[in-house]
Amino acid sequence: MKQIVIISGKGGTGKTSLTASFAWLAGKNTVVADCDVDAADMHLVTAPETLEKRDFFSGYEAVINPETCVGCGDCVEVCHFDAIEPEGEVYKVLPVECEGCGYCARICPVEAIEMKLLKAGDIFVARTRMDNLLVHARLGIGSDMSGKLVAEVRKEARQQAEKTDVEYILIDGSPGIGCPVTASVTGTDYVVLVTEPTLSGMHDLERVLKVVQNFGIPAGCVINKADIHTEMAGRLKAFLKEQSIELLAEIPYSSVFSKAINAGKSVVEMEDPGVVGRIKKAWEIIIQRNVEPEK
Amino acid sequence: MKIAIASGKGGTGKTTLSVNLTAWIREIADRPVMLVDLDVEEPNTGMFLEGTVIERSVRYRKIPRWKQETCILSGECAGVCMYNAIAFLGNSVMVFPELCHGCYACSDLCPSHSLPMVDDRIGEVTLYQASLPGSRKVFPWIEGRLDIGREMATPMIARTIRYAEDHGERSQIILFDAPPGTSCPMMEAAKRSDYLLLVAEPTRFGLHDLGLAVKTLKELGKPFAVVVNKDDPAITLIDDFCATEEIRIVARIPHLREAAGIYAGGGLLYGKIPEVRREMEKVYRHILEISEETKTG
Repeated sequence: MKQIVIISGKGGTGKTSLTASFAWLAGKNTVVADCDVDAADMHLVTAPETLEKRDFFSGYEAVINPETCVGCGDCVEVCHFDAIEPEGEVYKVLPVECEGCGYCARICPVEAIEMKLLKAGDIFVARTRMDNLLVHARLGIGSDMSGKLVAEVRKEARQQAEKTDVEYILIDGSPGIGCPVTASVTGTDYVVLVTEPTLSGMHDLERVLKVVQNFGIPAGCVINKADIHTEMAGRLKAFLKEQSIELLAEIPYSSVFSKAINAGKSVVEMEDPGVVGRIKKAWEIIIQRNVEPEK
Repeated sequence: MKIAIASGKGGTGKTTLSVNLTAWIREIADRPVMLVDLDVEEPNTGMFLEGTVIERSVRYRKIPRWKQETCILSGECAGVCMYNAIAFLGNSVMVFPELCHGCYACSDLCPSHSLPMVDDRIGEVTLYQASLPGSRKVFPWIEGRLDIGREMATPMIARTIRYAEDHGERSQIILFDAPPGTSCPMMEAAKRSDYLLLVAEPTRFGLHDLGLAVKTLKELGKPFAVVVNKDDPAITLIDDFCATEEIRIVARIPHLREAAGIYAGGGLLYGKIPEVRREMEKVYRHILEISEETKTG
């Protein structure tokens, strides 16, 4: 089983649209893991029917019992997150600020503070209309557990893939270069970078590529909106060559991307041979680079 | 007044709005304004602006460092850490900086004071004087940049905001180019703002992620309005949602391929595209309105 992650650094380059297209092309041979947990949109074009749903718990929040609190203020002194405020004679915790470190609970002289386990989000296993399984998650409002949730989604996807003996896990990765993207990339077999020939696209690609190179995973690149700026596209291709990254496709600027999203479809199901042909070609190359060794 | 420009989905035009609005306010409205790039993982305002560096400084956070000489191997530290950032291995202690939240519990509660808190570099803040092409007008511009390989964006954002607060003036309009999404980094920027502008694009992805951002801001109790980017008059997804939720749409930047080309090369749009100039004015008028309301209210 091969794990292929699709990442972009910059948002809005077409990462999720491409992942959905690959998922359609791979059909029942794949489990899809939506690890863009902050903006998980894959379900909008794959029409999943939920098979399993479970809570994901992670992290804690301090809760002060006003009945027991004697108002000594020791908790305020030790809190480095300014998460505790006076309320009348006693104190209360501001949930948005609390990092769940438990320092206050540990030093409270009257044991008035309880550390409550927090629900960080929901994890879903679903069957899509593309005849594959989708593992996706919904993060609770303002939860800071996105890195852990990514790891959890991937674990579930791996278990599902092993159970059903499929060839690929397709991971729709997280944006940026921080904790969630590291969690999306680690332990994968191949990275598909999606970018566009803009200064921002180029800059973000360089930064996210450094994260990828830290892991030493082979990578290929899809340039979307390839014809919006000829000079930038040239620079981008020169950069890929210099970094020994295979160019998988140059997709022309097309409104088919937003039309597909609004029709609830993947791009390869639409009528636009120029775009569809190039995405299919890219997927063929990815498959060739991810052949299982003979047993 | 601190105004964050945010969006649930990436690539909807946060940075485009941030730089164009800042430049428009400085050049056309001739008002003092400051721009702060809080997208510390992928700071991109620099693609569209020219500036001279006024000051560059390294930002740190505090993490514990094990002092072997004094440690009595009590194992207390590993027991108090809720983040598994400390491993007690029987005859030594290991600290994992990427897991540490900097709560000080291990350091303060160590019986032999063997885990002093020390500086840990996370990134750089740069203050520029930004200039506008063909104009003598300048404005302060701050960029926070997380070191590659560091996973802790949120403390870097907090430090960049603090730096901006120290360098901005009270009367000034301070615009934050916020990180995308709805988790910790975006929350950090939102918490420290007086008002937010959510940029949304009229696709089902855009609508879904706008919905998440709206929920987050309602939870935080922050006032906000919406700017539609890549607007298509034929698609009313965002309009319908905003009507139901009673959210004001203050401007609509049309979907123009010409804009994509100018953006690609790092150009500002309002000088070349009259529709963008008109919409920047609308956003600015809205900012004036809400800052009046804040003063009188």
